[in-house]
Amino acid sequence: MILRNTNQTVVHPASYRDPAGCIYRSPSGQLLRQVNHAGASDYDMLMSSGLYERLVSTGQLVSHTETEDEPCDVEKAYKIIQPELLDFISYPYEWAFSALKAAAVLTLDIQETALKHSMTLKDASAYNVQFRGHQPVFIDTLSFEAYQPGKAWDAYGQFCRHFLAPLALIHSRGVEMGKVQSLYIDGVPLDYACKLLPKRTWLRPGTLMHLHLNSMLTRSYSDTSKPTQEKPNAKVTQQGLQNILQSLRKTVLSMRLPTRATTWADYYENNTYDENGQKEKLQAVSDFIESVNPRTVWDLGANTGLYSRIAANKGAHVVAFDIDHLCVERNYNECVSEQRTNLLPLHLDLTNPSPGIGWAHTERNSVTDRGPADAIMALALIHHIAISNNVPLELVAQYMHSIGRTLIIEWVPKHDPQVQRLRVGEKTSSMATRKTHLRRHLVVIFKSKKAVRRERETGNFIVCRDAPIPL
Amino acid sequence: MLLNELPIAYIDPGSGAMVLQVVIASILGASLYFRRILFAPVLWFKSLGRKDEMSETEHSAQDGERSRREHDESRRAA
Repeated sequence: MILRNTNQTVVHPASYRDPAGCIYRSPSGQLLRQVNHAGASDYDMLMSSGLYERLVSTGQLVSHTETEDEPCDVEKAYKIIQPELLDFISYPYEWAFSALKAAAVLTLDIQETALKHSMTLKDASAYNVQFRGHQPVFIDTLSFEAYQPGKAWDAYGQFCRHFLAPLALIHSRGVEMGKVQSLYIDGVPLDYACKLLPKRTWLRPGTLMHLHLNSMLTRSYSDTSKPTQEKPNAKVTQQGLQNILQSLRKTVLSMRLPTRATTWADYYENNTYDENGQKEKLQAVSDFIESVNPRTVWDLGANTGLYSRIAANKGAHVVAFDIDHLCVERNYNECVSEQRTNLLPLHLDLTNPSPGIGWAHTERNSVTDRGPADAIMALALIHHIAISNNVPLELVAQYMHSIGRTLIIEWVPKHDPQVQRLRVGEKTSSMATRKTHLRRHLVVIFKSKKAVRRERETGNFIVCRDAPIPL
Repeated sequence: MLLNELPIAYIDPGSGAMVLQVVIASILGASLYFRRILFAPVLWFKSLGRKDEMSETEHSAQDGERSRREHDESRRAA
């Protein structure tokens, strides 16, 4: 659930999990975090041990300021903090493979640093990590607790479910396995992951120890047919914990994305645009971004992000969605080499977008609920939705309006080979008629909501505007 | 009131995962220990080589220092 400004205190629906505090939106619209008395000593230790400064200075943890705002629960409140805001919240099942690896490494790095400051992470959920462009950042300030010498890592099993299992599944069975993460909000169950993994993963020490043996022992201890077993008194030295973290890191880094040719990965090299067509497209996108001056842009069907970068270079925060995992991976790796902090490539199937998951569908938001963006770019995309998936153009126009305040659509003409390929056997209305229909729907839909400031059409591009964009 | 005072675990660490960490820590600790023993001769030879290099560089540094001192003295005498 997005915490929208409603002039009253709204607690985030995922915040019920942590007794140490909660996230809420104040009546004045600020996003705040309450630290409860239950988490007071750990929070104070985080702040006084030097761990907070260390992690914030390296960009690994979001910064915050303590405020005097009204708490959401007066009886439990110890302190109120205002965390740094991120431009977009994304989830592990939308990340590129390398982004999931980077998030795993960040979690291990933070745990290692925390141990040096006599603290430990009490959870290792992948949802605690978000991205500033290519850079992963830990967002849960209340995940730290005092380390008790000799105690094993409580979050070890969760780390394996949230990071290691999906990475191993993608590595062994293909990139589509990443979607499994959306089925299980607390990570992929290890017995399920191990059933899907090939036999050869028993021969790799990392996957053998952290997945297969972990799954066997977890099953053995949760077997209800056996008499109730006492909780084991598991003692691990700090050096032992460091060795486990090193082993986890080695296993994470050994995972590779299986590469195979995909339909769209070489699109820019093998597309149908001539030099002039490409120039015209770049100019149209550039003009659109300059005229709208958006803070947030969603590029739908972004491929490897050529046009996303036009918006990013003009200062917008861009989310580049694509259905092709390899395109998303390439785009992410380019963002890493360019050190981009305002472009986030994500995987999205527009015909089946990320749903709301968790308790009452509200813990993790659907992609629609995370909008609307100031500007939507749908370049050479509509024919895939309208022709391949038979989505009526009116519904396309309605959905575009629901996720963005302004819109640029590139309408690919009928002589385009990709369109020809998609239209095999199709005898219905011509592409020109379809374009007129779409334009009519867009005008009606964007006009029906308050004032349309401008609607124009140039060549193959349709640009629509809704009400004035709040700056 | 009593419920409020009960300690609440944030996540269930899972008994199996806790036991496994003891096992893994022991295996990794033992493998590191044996690796150190196995590679001890190699490391010893390497350290010897490094010492030789070090002493050579120290000698050359000392030679350099001596010649610099002699050069300075001769200049002062001149």
